[in-house]
Amino acid sequence: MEWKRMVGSRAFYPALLLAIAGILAGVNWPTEHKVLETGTFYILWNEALTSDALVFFLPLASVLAYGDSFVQDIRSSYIRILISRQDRKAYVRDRMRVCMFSGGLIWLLAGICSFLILFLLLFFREGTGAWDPKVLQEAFWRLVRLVLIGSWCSAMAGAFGAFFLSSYMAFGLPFLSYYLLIILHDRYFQGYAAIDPVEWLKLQKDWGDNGIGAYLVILALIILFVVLGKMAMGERLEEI
Amino acid sequence: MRNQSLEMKTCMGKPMIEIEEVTKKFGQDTVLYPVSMTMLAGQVYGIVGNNGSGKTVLMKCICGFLPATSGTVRAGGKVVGKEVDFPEDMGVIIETPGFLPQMSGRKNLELLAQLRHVIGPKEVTRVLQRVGLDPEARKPVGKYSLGMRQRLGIAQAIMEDPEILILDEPFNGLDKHGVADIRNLLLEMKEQGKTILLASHNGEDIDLLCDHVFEMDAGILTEIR
Ligand SMILES: Nc1ncnc2c1ncn2[C@@H]1O[C@H](COP(=O)(O)OP(=O)(O)O)[C@@H](O)[C@H]1O
Ligand SMILES: [Mg+2]
Repeated sequence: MEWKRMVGSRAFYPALLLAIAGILAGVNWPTEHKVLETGTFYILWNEALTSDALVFFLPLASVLAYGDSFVQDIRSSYIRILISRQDRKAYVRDRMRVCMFSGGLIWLLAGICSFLILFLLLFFREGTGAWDPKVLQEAFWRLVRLVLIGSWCSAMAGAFGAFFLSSYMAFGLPFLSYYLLIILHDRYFQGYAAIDPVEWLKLQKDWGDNGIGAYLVILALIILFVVLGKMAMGERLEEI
Repeated sequence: MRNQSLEMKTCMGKPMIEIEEVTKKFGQDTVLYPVSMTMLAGQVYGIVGNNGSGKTVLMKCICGFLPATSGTVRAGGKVVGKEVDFPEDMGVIIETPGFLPQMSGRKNLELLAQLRHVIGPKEVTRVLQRVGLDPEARKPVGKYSLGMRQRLGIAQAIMEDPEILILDEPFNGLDKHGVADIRNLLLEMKEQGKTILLASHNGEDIDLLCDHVFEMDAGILTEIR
């Protein structure tokens, strides 16, 4: 039910378009009209997955789709219709789960769409040759991290929305937190790459084998906000 | 004769909802003074009272939407808020409920039906017709009039055919036809032996439908019929 509701919600497609635009804005489009090197489309895609444009769009597109759904339920009193069919525990579990996945889903779909777009636009201008699986592999893991960071943002949206019972907070605070971490890192704690969301995406520092450290940091943050969000929602649901 | 067969069908007399000394305070304000009431199977109960007298608050306590400050509500023998989150086999409409505004009425009900998995699209069509809404209409609920939304609210309350119905101001926002439609619907439900609690600030509907009538006055509930 939750998934259908999310995909049917008004903000889903704008969020998806924003995410696709965020990826495509970072593409270093070839300007010359000559035959392109083999694999240009996925090499450009791979680069776009860590571009500055994408870093900017990331928290925005992640929270739009479903970040304030809990706030909406309470404000519209839709919650009473739901709780008459589903106990509070099940509701909170489903709501937080879908909230969390919504941000990741947007980026997963945007990643796939932008890949297809680049393929259609560039592949037929490329010369033939062997593909480079290394680049594709790198891009795949970048996409995974993108999805995880998107989930972190939307989990924050769910938690902040429930805590303040406000759509503005649901949309605004993940955005602020994300930038705050980037700024803290750039200005004051340059040695602590672990707090920098951009670094989680780019993995320029040493994060252990295959960047395992970055995945653990993001996962821990997701779990933290899912737990906080569930607590905040539980509190809000005592009187409905 | 008919009464007898009804009695067999619904085991009339079995307590469905037992309210024991329920009080509710919001901060210093006492909104409900100790309220006790037992709802027996197959009976229709009405509460009349002015706006702000506490009807909605009592109904929310029955549903477990609000925790009572003291006292207990039992539904089917289970304490609401402790043993069950929400009473089993109960349909409810409290004030005019919200739906997902961007989806049609039909889509809304179909999504809700997936939470309990007891009815499918066919039953959704039937219930929409019963409350006088067009099952094929694609208009999103956000563009519904108050009366249409009220009809949809009643539809969601009855669609899974619950034994107990809690209806807070079900005639709210309905025009003359709407009131007549819903009144007939409730009479039908009564015939089927449902247990119903109805609140209204309009005594006329209550008189017609209810076996027992209570009055709520500033948080004090008294039986008047
Ligand atoms: N969540 C709440 N917090 C504080 N006061 C409330 C709350 N809900 C209802 N009240 C108060 O309780 C009283 C009874 O309200 P209500 O049950 O809605 O009246 P009605 O009989 O019209 O349904 C009113 O004075 C209302 O202001
Ligand atoms: Mg009321």
